[in-house]
Amino acid sequence: MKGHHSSLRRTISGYLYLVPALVLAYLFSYRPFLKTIINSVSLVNFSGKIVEFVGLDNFRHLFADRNFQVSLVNTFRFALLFIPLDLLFCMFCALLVYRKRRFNGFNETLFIMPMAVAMSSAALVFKALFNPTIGVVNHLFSLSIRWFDDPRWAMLTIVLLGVWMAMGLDFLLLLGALRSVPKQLVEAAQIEGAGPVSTFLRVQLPLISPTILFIVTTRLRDSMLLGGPVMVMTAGGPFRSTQTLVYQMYVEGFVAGNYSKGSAISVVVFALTFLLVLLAFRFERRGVFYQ
Amino acid sequence: MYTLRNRIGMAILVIMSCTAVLFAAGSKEPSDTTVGNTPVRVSFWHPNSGLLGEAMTALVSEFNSTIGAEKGIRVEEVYQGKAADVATKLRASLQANRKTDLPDLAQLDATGVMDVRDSELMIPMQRLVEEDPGFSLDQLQEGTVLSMTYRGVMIGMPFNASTILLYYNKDAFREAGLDPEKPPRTLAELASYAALLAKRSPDGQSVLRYGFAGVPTTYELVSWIGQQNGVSYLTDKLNGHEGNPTRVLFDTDGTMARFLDEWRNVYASGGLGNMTSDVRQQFIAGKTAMFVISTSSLATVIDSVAGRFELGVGYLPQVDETSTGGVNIGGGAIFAFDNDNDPGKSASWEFLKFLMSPESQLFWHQKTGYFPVSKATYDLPAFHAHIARNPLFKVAIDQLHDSDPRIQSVWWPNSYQAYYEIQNGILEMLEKHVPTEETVRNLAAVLNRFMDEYNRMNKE
Repeated sequence: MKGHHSSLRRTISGYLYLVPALVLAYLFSYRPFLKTIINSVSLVNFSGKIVEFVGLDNFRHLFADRNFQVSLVNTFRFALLFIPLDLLFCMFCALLVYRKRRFNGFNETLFIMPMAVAMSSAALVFKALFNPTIGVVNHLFSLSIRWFDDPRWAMLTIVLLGVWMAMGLDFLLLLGALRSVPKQLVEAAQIEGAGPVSTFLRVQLPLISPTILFIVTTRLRDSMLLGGPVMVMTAGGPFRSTQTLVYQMYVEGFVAGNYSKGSAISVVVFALTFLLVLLAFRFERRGVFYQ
Repeated sequence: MYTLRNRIGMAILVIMSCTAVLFAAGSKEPSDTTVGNTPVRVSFWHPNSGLLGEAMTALVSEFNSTIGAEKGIRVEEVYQGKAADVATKLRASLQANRKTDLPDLAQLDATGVMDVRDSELMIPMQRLVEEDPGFSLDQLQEGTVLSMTYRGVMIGMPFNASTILLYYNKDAFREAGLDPEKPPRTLAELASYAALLAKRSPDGQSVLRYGFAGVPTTYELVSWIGQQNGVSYLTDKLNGHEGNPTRVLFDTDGTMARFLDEWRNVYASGGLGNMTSDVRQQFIAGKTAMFVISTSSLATVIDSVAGRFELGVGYLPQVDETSTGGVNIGGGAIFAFDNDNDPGKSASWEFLKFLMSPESQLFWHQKTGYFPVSKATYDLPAFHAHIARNPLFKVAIDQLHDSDPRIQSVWWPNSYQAYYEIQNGILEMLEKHVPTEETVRNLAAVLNRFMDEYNRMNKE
C-alpha cells in the first residue's frame, strides 16, 4: 500500500520537474510555432488579430508573388555559394595547420578568432571594408566595383561575410576531425606510395566525412534562415538581389504588418529547411563513412 | 529519502513559479505622477542621430533647464534608431495594448503614420492644440498641417518638415561649361545637363562621374506625379490622407507615363547612373555631379563636402513646362500617446510648444535643414541674418513657398515593398527597354495588389 502510494508520488513529482521547462518551451517555442501556422491559414489584420480562416489562400498568393520567387532563388543562390566556399576555405585552413609545427598554434588562434565577433558588428565592419568609395577592398585590389550597388556583386559580399563568420567553428571542427584520423592509416598510405592529394582524398576525406556532413547540414539550415546580415548590410537591395526568405518574412511581417504573408513565408521556410535536412541525412547513408 | 527529495523539488518549483510571477509583476512599471517636488517625466522617442541628434539633445536640455525646471517637467529623450525602428517598437506596444510601454511622445516619418493613425492609444495632436487657447494651427505653415492631416484631423505635430531638393556640384558645372547659378529647371534640361556633366575614363570603360545619380521611387514620385495637372495623387483618397487607399490613379490620368517618358530621355542622355545606395557619398566624392535628397540633409551635406567643391542647390527639376505644382512636404511629425503618464498630456504639450516656438524652430532649421514650421520664425531678424549668410537654405525655403500645399506624401500599406517595386520597375524599363505603357501597367498592378491585400485584411 505504502509502496504504491510513494511510486505514484514519484511519478507525479517526476512530471512536476518537467513543468518549468515545458512552460518555457511552450511560451517561447511551441506557442509561437502554432500561432504562426494558424496565422498562415488566416487573414490577420494590421493589429495582429485574426479576421477569418482562408485555408491555403495565403500560400496560393505567396507562390504567385514574384517577390517571393526572387527570395526563394536568392536563398538558394546564397546556400550554393556559401556552403562550398565555406567548406573549401575552412578545409584549406585546417590542412595548413593540422600538423604540429611552430607558429601553428598562433595561426589556429587567428583562424578561430571570428567566433568572438558578434554578427552585426562583423556586418558593419564588412560594410566599411567593401565601401565602394572609401573601402579598403577596392583600394587594395585597385578595383572599382560598386559592391552594394551592383546586383551581381552584392550577394557575394554577404557570402564572404557568412564564410568569415562561420570560419571559426567550421575550421575548429575540421581541424579536430583531421587530427583524429589515425596516424597509422596515413602513414600506411604514404608507405604504399600515395601522394598528399590521394592520401587526402582516399584516406582523410572519407574518415572526416561525418564532420563534413555535420557542417553541411548546419550550414544548410543557417543558409535557409539567413536574415541578419542582409538586414545590416544591404536591406535586401540592390534591386532585391540579396532579399532572402527570412528577410522578406521580416519585411512582410514586421515592417509592413502583413502577418498572414509573413507567417506563410515562415511555414515555407520551416518546411524547406526540414526537407533539406532530411535529404542530407538520407545522403549520409550512402556518402558518409563511420569508423 | 524520497519525500525529502520531493520536498526540495516542490520548493524549487514554488520558487520558480514565484519568480515567474515576479517577472510578470516587474514588467509593469509604476507610472509617474507628480508627487510633491518630483518632476513629471515626459518620455520622447526619436530617430535623430548625427548632427540631427546633437540638435535634438540641445533642444531637450534647453527645455529641461528653462521651462521644464520652472514647471516641474523633465523630458527624457530616447534615440530609438531609424524612423522605421521607432515605428516598429511602437507597433509592438500598440498591438499588445500595453499602455505603460508607450512613450508620451514619439517622432515618426510618413511610413510610421500607418502604424499609429488608427490606434485608439494615439491622441490626435489637433485635440491638444484645441485645448490650448494660446495656440492655433494658423501659426503653422499650411502645407505642414495638411501633410499630417488624416480624415480632416491633424494627427501629429509637423515638427521636422522637409522637401526634396536638387544638390549639385558647381565646380563640375563650370568644368562642363554650364552656368553654375542655373541648375536644370525641367527633366529635359536635366537630361542635357547630365550628358555634359558625365565623364568617362579615357578608354571609355568606366564612368568617372555621372551627371545625375539615383533611381526615382516613392519619395521622388510624390512630387514628380504630384506636380502635374495642377495637383495629382498617386492613389485615391488623396494619397491615403482620407482613409485607406484602394487603387493607384497614375495609370489612368497619364501622369506616370509622362514622367517615365521624360525619365527615359534622362537615361538616354548617357549621364544617368542608376545608383541606389550611398548616393550622397558618391556626390561628396565627386562621382556624381547632381542628385536629389531631402532638405533635411542640407547641413550634413555642407558639413561633409567641407569645401572640397562648391555646393549648389536648386528646385527639383519639374517633369515638363506644364508641371508647375512644385514639391510635397515630407519629413515627420511628433505623435502623442495615452500611456497613463502625464494625464491630459499637459507636460508633453509644454515641450511641444517649446519645440514649435519660433526660436526653437530656427535653431532646428539652422542645425539640420528642416525648414521652420512656425510662420513666426520667418519674421525673426535672426532668421533673415541666417538665410542671408546661407543662401542655400534660402533656396530650399523658396521652393517650399512656391509649391502647392495640397501635394501630399502617400500613406499606403506595404510602403517598404512599394518603394522597391517602383525602383525595380523603373530600372527594368531603362535597362531592358520595357515600353512605358507596360511599365505603368505593371506598376499599377502590383501596387493595386498591395492595397487589395491590405484592405482584404483590414476592413474599414
